[in-house]
Amino acid sequence: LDDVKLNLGLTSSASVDKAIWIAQKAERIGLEGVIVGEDLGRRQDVFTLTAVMLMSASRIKVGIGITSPLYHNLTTIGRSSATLNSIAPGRLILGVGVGGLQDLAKEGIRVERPEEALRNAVSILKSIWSDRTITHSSRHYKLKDYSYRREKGSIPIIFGVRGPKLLKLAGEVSDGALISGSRSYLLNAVAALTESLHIHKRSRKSFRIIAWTPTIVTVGGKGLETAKKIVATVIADTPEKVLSQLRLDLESVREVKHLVSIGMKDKALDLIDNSMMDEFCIYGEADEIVEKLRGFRSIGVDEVVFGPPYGSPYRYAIELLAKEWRAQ
Amino acid sequence: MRFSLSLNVGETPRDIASKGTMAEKLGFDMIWVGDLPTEPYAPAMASFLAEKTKSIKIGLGLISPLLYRPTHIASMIVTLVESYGPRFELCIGPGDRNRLNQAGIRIPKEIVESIMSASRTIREKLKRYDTQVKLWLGAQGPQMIEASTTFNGVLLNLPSPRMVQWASKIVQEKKPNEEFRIGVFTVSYVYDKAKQDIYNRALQAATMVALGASNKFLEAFGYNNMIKEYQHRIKDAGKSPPQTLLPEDILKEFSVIKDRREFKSYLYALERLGVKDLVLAYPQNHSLSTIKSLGKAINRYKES
Repeated sequence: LDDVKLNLGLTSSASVDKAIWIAQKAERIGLEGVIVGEDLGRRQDVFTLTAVMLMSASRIKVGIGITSPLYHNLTTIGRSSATLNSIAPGRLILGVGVGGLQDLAKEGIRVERPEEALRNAVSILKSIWSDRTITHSSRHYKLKDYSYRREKGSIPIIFGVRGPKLLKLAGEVSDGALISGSRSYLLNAVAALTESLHIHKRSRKSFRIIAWTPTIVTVGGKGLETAKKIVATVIADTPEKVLSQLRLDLESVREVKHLVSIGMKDKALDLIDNSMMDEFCIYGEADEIVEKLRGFRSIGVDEVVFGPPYGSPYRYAIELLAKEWRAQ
Repeated sequence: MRFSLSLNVGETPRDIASKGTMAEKLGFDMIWVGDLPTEPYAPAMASFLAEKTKSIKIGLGLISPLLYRPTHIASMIVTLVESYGPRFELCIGPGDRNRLNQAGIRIPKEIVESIMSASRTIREKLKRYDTQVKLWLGAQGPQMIEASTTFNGVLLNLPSPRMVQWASKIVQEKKPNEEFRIGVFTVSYVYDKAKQDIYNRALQAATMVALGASNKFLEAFGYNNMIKEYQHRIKDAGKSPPQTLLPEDILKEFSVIKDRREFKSYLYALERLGVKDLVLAYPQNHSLSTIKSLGKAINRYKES
């Protein structure tokens, strides 16, 4: 087995300074790349931020992980990624998924038939990038004689997915999957992806499985409160089907989900116990985290993502982890 | 008056960069990067251009709130300003009806209200992130021109002095604040010695502007019946209208197709009407040579 590859992660809530520092750090220490998650409606435009990061480095890959075709017009995703690929050929990875349920609800978006939405999205995106004229009408998208006749190029599409149906779909139509959860969840997810790849006679080697679990370096125990906040958000965004498969106190988990959904995240934090922390977050001293991340290779993960919330201050936490990553 | 060159975002990044750096070298005040649902993503191109130029201002737009959510539009500017400093301005407007249709978007009847609501959301978000930019409204019809007075300026897609005068009257009746700017965005070919193929492209682009003009505007200038008749002919002719469909003198009202001397007189006329910004677009951006011709014409005007 090749060694697991490390990416740094951030979201579009981050400042540009932070994003550039992270991209240049990843490049300097020889990491695979950086993955930028889109926080809907927040500070930065994920596509422009990605452009800035691609131009601030010359080698690393920058992944958008993920953006939602339910939030953006699908043509925006298609042409923005094509534009980024023309600015930095071969260095962009496009992550798509339905998006965080809480954020979508705030924007008045209901998620209906996510499987159909993602399946059609991949097909339309590939058509946009391949110089075809597209007419399409479905529940989620409408295009009429649409064509984007610009530079052609292939952009890897990875799915940010959690539930079994979407994992299966990822194995069928995407170039990879960005998955998040505990070691036991990841194990099941990798198995589901591998099975789907096998069913659809696709090569596992050319499929990229990336695990992104919120990670925090807790120097001397500091930083646990931040980790809890992240865990509360992850729980709120995790489908009931997935939660019910976990060995957790489901009553408490549902209460956390409810409190976050009505805007009482602070109260939800009191309910986050160690088992939930272990399930949804990687925390500990830098050497422990590196050991856990490297351990993901043995369950079939190809790449891992470190952060956020990283630890405090973030530069120190990333430096610590990078040093330990190279040492181990 | 500020002079801007509008670049064709559909070109390769390398071409965009060389034309942008040339515009900066020639002393243009701004570069505008347009956005259409079928063309490359303008904010990323604006970012690329900012990276390749030193300090020239960059206008983003026209950006349609029908294509992007208003908070997304504000994010584009927040990221650009945070990355490259206060070099950006933003122009919003409904956008090209046909291209929006291709992307599955219809322009609603209550478009003015929709744009005004979007502008409020954009301003709120920009304020939250302490980002100050000039916000323009791209307008042509009387209602949209009236609505523009709550913006920092209006970019009129109406180049001829009599059209500008008509629009200016609508603006003045609304008594905007003193800082309000009237700008003109136009199909342009300013030349020393005209090249026929570029001249023809300019006429063709002017045809598209005339045919896409709002009904109320066409009524105001008595063009309504004639343009409708040509629109029918185009429907019969197919997608690409031949450039000779409209009489050349009318097309020249919808564009700036002039030699240097005519251009100078035109600029004096615009100045008298209080125009503060002139954005010169396709096919002036065709090549480094056509950009240079324009740069020289502008510099001669400035020197005079």
